Amino acid sequence: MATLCKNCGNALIYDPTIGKMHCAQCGSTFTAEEVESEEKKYREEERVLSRDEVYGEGSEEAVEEFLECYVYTCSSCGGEIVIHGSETSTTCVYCGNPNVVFSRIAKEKMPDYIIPFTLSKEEALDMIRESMPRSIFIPKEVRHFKAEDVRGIYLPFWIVNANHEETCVIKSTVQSGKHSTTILSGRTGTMCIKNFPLDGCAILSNESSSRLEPFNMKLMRPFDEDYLLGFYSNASDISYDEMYEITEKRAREIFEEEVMGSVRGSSPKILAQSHQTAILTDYKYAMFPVWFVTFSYEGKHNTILVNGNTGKVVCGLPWRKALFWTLTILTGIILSVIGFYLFKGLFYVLVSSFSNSSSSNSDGRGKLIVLIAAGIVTLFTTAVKKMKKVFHQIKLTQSSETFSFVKKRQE
Amino acid sequence: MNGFQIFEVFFLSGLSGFGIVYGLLAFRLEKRNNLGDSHGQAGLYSSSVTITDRQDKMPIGVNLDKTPAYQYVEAHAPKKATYPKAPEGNEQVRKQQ
Repeated sequence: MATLCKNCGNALIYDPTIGKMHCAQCGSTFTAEEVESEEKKYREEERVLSRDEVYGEGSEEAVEEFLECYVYTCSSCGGEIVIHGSETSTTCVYCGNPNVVFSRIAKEKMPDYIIPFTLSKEEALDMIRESMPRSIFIPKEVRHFKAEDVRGIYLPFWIVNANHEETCVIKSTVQSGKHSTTILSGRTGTMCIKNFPLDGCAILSNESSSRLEPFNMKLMRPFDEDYLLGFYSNASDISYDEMYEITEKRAREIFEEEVMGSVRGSSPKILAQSHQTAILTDYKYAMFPVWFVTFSYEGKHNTILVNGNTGKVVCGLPWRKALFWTLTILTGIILSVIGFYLFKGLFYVLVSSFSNSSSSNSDGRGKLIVLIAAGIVTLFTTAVKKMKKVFHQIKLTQSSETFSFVKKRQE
Repeated sequence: MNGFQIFEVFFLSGLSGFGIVYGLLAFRLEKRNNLGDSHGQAGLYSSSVTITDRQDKMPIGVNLDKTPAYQYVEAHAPKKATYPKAPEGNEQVRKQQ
């Protein structure tokens, strides 16, 4: 429910630029500790109505799309507030006052900690513009994008401590003179992860939310719902298995990177392994700030994420495909022609000598051709991996789930 | 040089030319268009990894099922944790009371 100004009774919102609650009406500012109201009591018994109950089963409004909505009453104007999914704070569509929905954050769901927004909406947009690199492949409409929606959303995070144990055998290649040998190295070890934040929102991709890291944990403070005022927020809706999956994946990445570095030779690869990750019981629940900025390009919705604490911008930018491929083909043709004349002499010697000379000379020249071919294949393979990464990041940025996660909230 | 040799040279120089261009442009595209492509550093979350056993230059067996590698993993596999840990399952994560 809305927290009201002590001086004029207008609804307060949290202002990241000053780090306090601010009244737009009279200009008063208050810290979260200074604001006390009876609405802060946890209304655990309060029962919310589903849309079906409000409008009746079979009514026009009770379409399947809305069955996950819950209806609350705005404490300022009595207007209807619709909450979707796991949302816990929103804005009344009638009076514009921020509302924190208490029964959603009843005691068992109340976060332990929160990192308040330190970036305002304007600062978030500035961070995005500053992060936009100059590149011929980024369209002008993207570099000077027009934001359609800018929403500050507190995302639920679980802060876990975990023990990870793993044993693995690593295969690597060691060069000794002209010969290369494959060796196996066994490593067994333990690792403790502390204060690892994992995204508690099921609909948001873990990959996107993990790229928002790091958050400045020193700014984390005991939770107070007043920090939510003026922003949207969600309660956690992931399962224990999902929590384990995310923690285990990250723990394995950290452990394996460490042990791979302790092995002799090149191109280390895990041949066999056994691992176990156990999340300790002292995990904490927190809310971390993220700005979601949406814009359209060529009919597709794009969502840029900005860490509302550090200002880190996360997205895969749309790119000019036609220009990229045209440039690749034309420049490739030119380089190929130049290469043909440059290497013609060299390859003539190599190819004709390979056909005519003794076996030891032909071995050396054969190896040289194989080396060149291997280099080209490696370059191609690495380039293909880079392109796959670009396609994948664009897919995350243009994800319809992320877009609806932002868009379906009341304004 | 006969026709086939000319084709070989042209094929290799074409592969090199396109390979270099594609590689360079792909690198540039990935670097410029991917914003925020990093996680938090491992040092933020973990104490140092403690290696409790290491064996270098393990023998390589012929039959993969019976290699010393699998024997090593079986011998050193982590034991099931006996200390208290977070619950598992499909239920939604809840705060510790």
